[in-house]
Amino acid sequence: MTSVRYTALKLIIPISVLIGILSLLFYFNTAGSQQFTVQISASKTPLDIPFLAQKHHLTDSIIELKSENWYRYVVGNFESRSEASKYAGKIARQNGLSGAFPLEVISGNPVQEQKKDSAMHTEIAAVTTDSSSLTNKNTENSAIPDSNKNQENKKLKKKSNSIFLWMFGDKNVLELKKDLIVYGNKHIPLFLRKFYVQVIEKAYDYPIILLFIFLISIFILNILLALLVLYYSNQQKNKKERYIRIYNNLYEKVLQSYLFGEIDWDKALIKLKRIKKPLNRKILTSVLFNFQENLRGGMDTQIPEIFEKIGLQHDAIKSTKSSSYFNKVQGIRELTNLYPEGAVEIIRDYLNDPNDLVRAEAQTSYIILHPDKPFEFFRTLTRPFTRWTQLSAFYLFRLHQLPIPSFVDYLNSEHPNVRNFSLRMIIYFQQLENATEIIKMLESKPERTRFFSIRAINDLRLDEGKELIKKKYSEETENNKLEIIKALKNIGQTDDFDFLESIIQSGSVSEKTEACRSLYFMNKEGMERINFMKQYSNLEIGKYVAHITDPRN
Amino acid sequence: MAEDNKLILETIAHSLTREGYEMIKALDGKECLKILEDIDVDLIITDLYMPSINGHEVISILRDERKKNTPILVLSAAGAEENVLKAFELGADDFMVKPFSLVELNVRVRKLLAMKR
Repeated sequence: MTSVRYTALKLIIPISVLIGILSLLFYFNTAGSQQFTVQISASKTPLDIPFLAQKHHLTDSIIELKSENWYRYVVGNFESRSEASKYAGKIARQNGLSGAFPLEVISGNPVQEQKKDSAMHTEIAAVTTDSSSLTNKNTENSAIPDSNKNQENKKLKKKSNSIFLWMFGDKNVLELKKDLIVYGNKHIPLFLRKFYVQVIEKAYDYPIILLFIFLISIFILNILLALLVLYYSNQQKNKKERYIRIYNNLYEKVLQSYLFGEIDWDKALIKLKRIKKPLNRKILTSVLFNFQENLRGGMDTQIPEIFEKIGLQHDAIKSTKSSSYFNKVQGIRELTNLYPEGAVEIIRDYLNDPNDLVRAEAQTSYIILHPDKPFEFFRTLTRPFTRWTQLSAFYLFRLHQLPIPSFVDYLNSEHPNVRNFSLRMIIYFQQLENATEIIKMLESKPERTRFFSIRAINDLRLDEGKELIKKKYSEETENNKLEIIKALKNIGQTDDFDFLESIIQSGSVSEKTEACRSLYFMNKEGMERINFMKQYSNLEIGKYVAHITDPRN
Repeated sequence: MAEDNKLILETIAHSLTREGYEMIKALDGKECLKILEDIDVDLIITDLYMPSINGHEVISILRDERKKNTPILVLSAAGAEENVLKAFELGADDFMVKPFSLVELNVRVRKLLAMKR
């Protein structure tokens, strides 16, 4: 499956390239890259970042950096010291963080700022790590005036958070969040760290984002799994095909040598390796089938002999007993071609099988195996004789020049499709014997049987049927009426002119057209009659004559 | 010989080689025509329904352009009257329907080669 390979390559290559680029960026970023940030706090023990943000009314994400047993809390990411200083000044004015100072970060590690050490210590006392104190701090800070919008946002976040906490347990959730942030601080490049922390914060504020992230991950995993499975299946399939090809070639060579008399059977049996394995037996059967399908003469008897010697007929019989219709059909076909004596009895059970394909195969096999009486199974048929089997039977007769039975014998079948098929065969093979039986079919209930009967009377020129079809004209369907009119072209005479004229005067357009055609081409007198009508009647006969005499029609 | 069924191609080639003929094999019509561009043969055996170019086209091309006098024997499972007639109209010299007898094939090949001589 080149499409699987291609799909896998399509995904794997870009992913690998992306990973490579990210790794390089990470490497370049962490290997000696210089960045600046602003430190707002530090502690010997980890602090609660949401609390810090709330306390100082900071909207930017606070990132935790660990160095030399200190936990430093920084905000912002700047290319130069001056930018960082500007920002430090701003948050000192706006947020009351007078101790904030710029901090240089190289390869993700803060560079100790000597003159600002005192600023680190001043912040320690103000902070606590206990998460339960969050609510206390919240009440402490409730005196700080907030806009209504901020309050609503906070309520919403609290609500989402509480649902999340309820679902997964507060302690585990907060632990996980802390662990994720710590992980990010340690391993994510600085330029991505802010985004990463923002994502974590947002995910915890709005759990649905987490759900989406989870679902997307599952989706990607499933795709990868499916690709793996497809790839593996493809490999297995290729392996099997190679195996079949190898043994197919081997068996062909050995059987060819045996059939041409170059080696004897014992030697051939030794060379036919692994014929006890089911797959190899199938391969061997297909090779024998290929020979039998294409070759006749001396090999006609040799190939079934080989089939029996190896015991492959048991496999074929087993296939016919399978629940799968495909195996049944395969088994019937193998038995018919390679084990004809045994097949005769076995296929009788399938002549009325409920599955159309099995039934068709069994019936076709019956025709092949009973060349003297190929349609005797009509007498015991309980299910329809399908169109496909009719075509197959017809093809067999034409191609293999089988002796043609007398289809008149099957006209009294209770199955309309058997009668119809028989009538068609009678017409094709021009079986004129027993015209009365054919004419009797005019009384059949099914319209299609009457149709073929009329056609048979026409094609076989059964004059004795003419009066009867004229009599039945008025009761017939439109199709059959047209067929009757057409029949009169071949079997009609001058005493039928009035009948045709009455149709020209009162019939439908199709009936009029066919009646004109029949009359015109019946004989010379018919042509004269039409020309007379053309001149003296007001039935627009001219148009009909122009139509029927146009060679395109 | 042009035949897309590898087993039958090998079998016929084997049979005719044993009779003393030199066989050149082709798995489809296109390959057959390509071979015949460079080599002159005494007899062409072709199937009708093959991949790329079918037997009718092969006969037509050979009779139009190149091998006007080389006998062509058609060997096909498509033995319906219209196929047989079409093959003869296009210039085939003989037609055998599959399944066929190798003995009969040998006899027909011998006859066609004798006629050519």
